[in-house]
Amino acid sequence: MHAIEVSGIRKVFGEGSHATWALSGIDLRIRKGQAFGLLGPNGAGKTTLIYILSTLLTPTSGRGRILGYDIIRDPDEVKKRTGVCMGGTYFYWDLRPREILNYFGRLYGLDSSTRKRNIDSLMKRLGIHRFENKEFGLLSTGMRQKVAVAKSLLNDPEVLFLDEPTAGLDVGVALEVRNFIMDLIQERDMTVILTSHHLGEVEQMCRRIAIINQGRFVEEGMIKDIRDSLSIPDVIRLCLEKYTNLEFLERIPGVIHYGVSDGLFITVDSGRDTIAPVLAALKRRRIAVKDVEIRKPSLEEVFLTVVGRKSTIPRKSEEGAR
Amino acid sequence: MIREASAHFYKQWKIMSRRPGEMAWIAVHPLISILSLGILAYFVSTGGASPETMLFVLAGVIVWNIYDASQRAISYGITLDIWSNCLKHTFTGSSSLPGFVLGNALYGLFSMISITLVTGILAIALFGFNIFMAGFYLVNFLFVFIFAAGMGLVINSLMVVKGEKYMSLMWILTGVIMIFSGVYYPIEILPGPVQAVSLAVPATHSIISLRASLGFSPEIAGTELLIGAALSLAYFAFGALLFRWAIKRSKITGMLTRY
Ligand SMILES: Nc1ncnc2c1ncn2[C@@H]1O[C@H](COP(=O)(O)OP(=O)(O)OP(=O)(O)O)[C@@H](O)[C@H]1O
Ligand SMILES: [Mg+2]
Repeated sequence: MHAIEVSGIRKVFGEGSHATWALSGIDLRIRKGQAFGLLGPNGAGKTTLIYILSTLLTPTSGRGRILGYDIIRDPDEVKKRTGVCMGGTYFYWDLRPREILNYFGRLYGLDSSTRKRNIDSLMKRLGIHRFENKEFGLLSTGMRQKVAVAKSLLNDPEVLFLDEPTAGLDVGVALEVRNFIMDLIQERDMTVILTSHHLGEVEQMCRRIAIINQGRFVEEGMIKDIRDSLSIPDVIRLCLEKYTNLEFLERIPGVIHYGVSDGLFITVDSGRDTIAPVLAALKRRRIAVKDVEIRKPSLEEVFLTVVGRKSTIPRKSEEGAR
Repeated sequence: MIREASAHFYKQWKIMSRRPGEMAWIAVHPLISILSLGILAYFVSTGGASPETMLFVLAGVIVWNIYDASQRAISYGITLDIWSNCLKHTFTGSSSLPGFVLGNALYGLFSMISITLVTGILAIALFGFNIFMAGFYLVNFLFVFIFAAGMGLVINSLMVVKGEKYMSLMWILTGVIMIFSGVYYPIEILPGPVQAVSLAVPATHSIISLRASLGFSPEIAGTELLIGAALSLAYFAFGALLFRWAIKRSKITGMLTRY
């Protein structure tokens, strides 16, 4: 069984000429224990999808099941088993972290011993106990976000939605939060949907992603497969003893072009296929090679290629207007 | 449901106890209204009006403070979340309506009991008026409370559907209802059509019943109690249904996730 199954989800906000199509037909299946990354530019519909899955928004049409429970008909069953963490979360300004967690623990219906155990353990692991006597309004962004992460895990969720969980955090705190979540995913076999503008984070946590633009998935699959299918050129970087008389490189099949700056950069169709002939040619000319590196396209390049290429799809509301 | 209710009570209790201004509403505000209106009534009765005028007004003051605090407690269940921009987080937990109403109502009940005691004792000490003489008819407070909870849910519905712009309605509505329900005067002195509206307000009947039991006209105390009870329950049911619909609606329009 899939932990998350969604088909034909559409969401429109407002009516008539003010209508905004936030999502126009999303299909998605995620297996239990998988971490799934959702990428897309601002306003693409990521948060809207997360809200729909966590039953805070009702889709205009389409169906969804989480762990077998219908998101529209059984929202309480869904909520019991899921956790939601958003970036830039606010809680009650006058309450202290433990009080906030206590409130949510009660809302989730946890009995007092489970509540205490979970709160203690989350506060300890996230280092919240270090500022537990401060009211929420006095906490820094990073401290607040740790409370938000703790809140999302209070009910031992089987499915976790993370919407930009490390937005606004410094590198150290972001790393701490990310590692903590990754440990938990391992420990508990959690299913996760992560949205982030920090593509390195997505690449570190997820193997499967979707790129969403203007309310539609424009690409979906394993990161590796998407990268291969896009045929974005690789780059071979070489450190040589000297950088003269290199014109012969252009005649090697698979080489697109080359340039010299801080080393020799050769843009090629496929790093794996072209590296051998390049090295052989250099050897024949007695040019010593000190260092070699093949750079696959970064997720940033993948993202920009996909979003740039497909952003011309007209939106539903525009289609209607014409 | 009990644990969820305890969550809502816990939230209000903790937040309110950190806010001296809010706590004053259940202690200082009743004191102010008892003093100002009690003295006014005393002044009027020394000027030739019947001595019962004072008792009449004091009973109204006490009931009104109870209404105000109860409505406030239910509305704060949503208002505090909107102020703190975390309404959506509350709804990631269980959103059982009975739990929400019960928890916030319990806080309202706590305020109501404090207010009854504060105003009741002050009225005895300052003016020799003992509201507790109403005995069984003090149960009218409970129906005022239920009516106030219903109106609190109506305001919550407005806030959830229309947004925080409607928050000040919370305070205005109390005043409007006060005018109609004859808190400080018998509704008979109002013009005919206004009287008709007054009779549709449950609190009008509860106040009449309470006063009647204190010796104004004991024979109608029972009937008015029943009318007040039935109307209060009807208003409460309407408020609860409206709130349920409002939450559904706000998940469609996206208002819920804005806060
Ligand atoms: N509650 C709402 N009411 C009305 N419109 C909304 C609401 N929430 C989102 N939208 C609209 O839906 C579209 C998608 O927004 P969404 O927040 O899902 O984007 P996103 O992918 O999360 O963007 P970002 O990366 O900036 O967070 C936007 O056009 C937005 O204005
Ligand atoms: Mg977003």
